Amino acid sequence: MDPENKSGILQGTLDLMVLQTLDTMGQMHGYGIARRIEQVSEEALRLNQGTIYAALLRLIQKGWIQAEWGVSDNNRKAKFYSITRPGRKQLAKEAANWQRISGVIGRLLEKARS
Amino acid sequence: MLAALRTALSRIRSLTSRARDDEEFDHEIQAHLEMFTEENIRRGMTDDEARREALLRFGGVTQLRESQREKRGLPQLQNIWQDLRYAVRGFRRSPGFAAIAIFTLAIGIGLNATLFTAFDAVALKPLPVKDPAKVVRLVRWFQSRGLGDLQYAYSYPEYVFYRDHNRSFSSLVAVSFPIRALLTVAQTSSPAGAASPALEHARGQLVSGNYFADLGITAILGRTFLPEENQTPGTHPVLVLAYPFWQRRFNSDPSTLGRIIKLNNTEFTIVGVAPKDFIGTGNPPLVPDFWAPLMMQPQLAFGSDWLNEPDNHQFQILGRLHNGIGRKQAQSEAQVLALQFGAAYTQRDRTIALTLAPAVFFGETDDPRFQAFVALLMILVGMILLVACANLANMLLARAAARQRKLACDWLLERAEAVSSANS
Repeated sequence: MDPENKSGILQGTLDLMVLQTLDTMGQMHGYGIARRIEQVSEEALRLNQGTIYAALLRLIQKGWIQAEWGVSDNNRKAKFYSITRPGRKQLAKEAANWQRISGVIGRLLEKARS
Repeated sequence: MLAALRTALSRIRSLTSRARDDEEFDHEIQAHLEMFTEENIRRGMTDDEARREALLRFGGVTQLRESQREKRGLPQLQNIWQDLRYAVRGFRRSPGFAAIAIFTLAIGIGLNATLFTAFDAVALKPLPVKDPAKVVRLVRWFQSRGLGDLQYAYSYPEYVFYRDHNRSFSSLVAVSFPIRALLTVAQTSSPAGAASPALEHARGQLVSGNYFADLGITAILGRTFLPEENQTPGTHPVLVLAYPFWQRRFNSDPSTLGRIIKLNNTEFTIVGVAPKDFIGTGNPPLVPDFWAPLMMQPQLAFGSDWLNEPDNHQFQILGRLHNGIGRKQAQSEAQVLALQFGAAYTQRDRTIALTLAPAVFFGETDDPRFQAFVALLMILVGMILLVACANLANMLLARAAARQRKLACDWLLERAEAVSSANS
């Protein structure tokens, strides 16, 4: 019963989205990250929000993000996550990788159609 | 790679903070759900709707909590700990069963450990001498294909011939098979015993004068043999005692040194005691009580003349290789010498080859008889362990069958809890 399998998106993809979100937005809590990803995707991607925490734990363990307790806008205690230096490096690598793959797939699909 | 390492470290670290991590995670989820609910209310939902929507969109809270816990730490390790605690509880509940199980396993394991220790001592451990890697045992191969202890036996003239003609060995030492001698110790301490001296036997080995010196054994008390004690037959009645014998027979008394004891009616002076860990170099391994210079053979073993009969195989020969000389090289030279000696003297059974074996107690461990013996023991002991395990497995199976009801209840309760917490 792995919650992340139900989200319907690739595990690595979610990690990449979280990294990118933290890189752009700075410090955020889990709920914020989930909402942000949904908003950016224009609600096309409806996350099983719990999976965000699985991704966050993976990224923390790899040392790509860090967490600390803080207080949210509406005065609620929450855990805030931010990207680390190795995390930025990883993000650059993964992003390049992603572009390359999506380029390849894009070209493949073009060829198939024509 | 680095990320994998960090992950492993993080998992290990979290082993100590498990309860706190769980609690923090609960807080985090709580905050998440509350924020989501508030936003839903702001969008115009009723309180109930807002809360339900938040829970729905979040997914299974209990499942997430479980899977996070597993990924945070080392579930295998934590499970082992749980299993251990469960086992201890089980032992307490049925100490009789536990005792039998532990006893069965202990016997099985104990027997195996004993066998390996014995095997290690006789076959793998080198002789208790200095630099044992350079010490080899001479093994002869007969035309008659006779195998066994006789392959390690050489006559004294043969030993002298090898000793004087080889270039491969820095030294060759000779040591006889154990001989028994009548021992008479004058009772100096008790006046009552003086009237009737104790009568007993002692087992000893006759050794060449360089035996201790060239094997690198120094006496812990007194001295070992001197070169001149190895020159003329019957002139130097001196003894070196083995440590166990000294301990047993003379109560580790330092004044034993210089005492005179009678062996086969010849008076010998005790000149030294060998160190505790020197248990001889015999094959088969037997710790002698004493060592005497082989020149004392006429006094200690009557009836034959070992020193002059080229066909009287009484001594084992050990050689210490010269620096830079390999076993192969020394072996081919030794074989040439053996054939030369065989050609010069008539032999009952001609030696057709000579090999150098590492100086472990049982000589050649690739002796097929030795291997068969060890294989048999291994199988036997393995079966005992197997039977022990099979018995144990049977008992556990019986217990498990009896426990099925309890397990089924546990499982149902767990599920019920999961379902109710997901619905709350």
